[in-house]
Amino acid sequence: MTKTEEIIDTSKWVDDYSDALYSYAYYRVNDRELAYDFVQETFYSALKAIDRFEKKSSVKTWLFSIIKRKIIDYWRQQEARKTKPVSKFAKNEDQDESWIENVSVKKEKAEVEHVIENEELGSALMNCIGKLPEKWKGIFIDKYIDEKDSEEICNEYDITSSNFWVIIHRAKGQLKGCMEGTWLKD
Amino acid sequence: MISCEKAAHLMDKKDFENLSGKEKRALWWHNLYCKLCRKYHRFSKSLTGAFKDVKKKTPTLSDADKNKLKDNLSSK
Repeated sequence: MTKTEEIIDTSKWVDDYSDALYSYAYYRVNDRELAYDFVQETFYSALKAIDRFEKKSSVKTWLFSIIKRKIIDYWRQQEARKTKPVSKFAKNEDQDESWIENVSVKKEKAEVEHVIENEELGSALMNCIGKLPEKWKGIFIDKYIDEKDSEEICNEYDITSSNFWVIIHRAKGQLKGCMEGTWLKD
Repeated sequence: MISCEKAAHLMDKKDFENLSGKEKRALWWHNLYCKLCRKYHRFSKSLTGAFKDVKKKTPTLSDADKNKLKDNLSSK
């Protein structure tokens, strides 16, 4: 098998990368069927653009760059459909606000630990992550799910370490509000 | 005593890495007096637990799904 044939061995692509691509997509769109479609579309796009594939990077890196772009486009379409800003924090992302006020407890009864054992918690968490602004969502999932190095995330998103921590904190604040306000009703 | 801002940063940092002894003491001392930060600390712990749970159930494709993908790709 020549190097080129090896690169376009689609059966091997599926065996080697489909699970990783699928979980990458699933954690970002929180829907199994949609995640499957993203994997399939990624493979189609890769096949279509095989001539442009620069062999400097690995097939895996290339496939992930394609699926990442597709998911970002999807998030943007989703955000564009919304008529209101995603959150009051989205407008003030780069301003230095008081930190702790953003996560003040609105409902005394809605303590997260009351529901920690609930099997729906993971699902509720993923739903709430889905509501984060696009950039926060990408950074948050990269850090908490994929456990990427903070410095790598800062480089990828072109943000400072200080901005990184502000985004993490505000995203957590929004998640807290989402989980307490809409899901943890008791 | 450290500020709420500093305490919040330590609690966020704690999601990913171990705090030093000095940081742990500073956070403990702050949270002893700050109800709001204590609540945030509990939320942070719950969030970390929820993420562990989510990651335990990492979804994978079934063999049937993979075969379907292979068929669709070979016909392209």
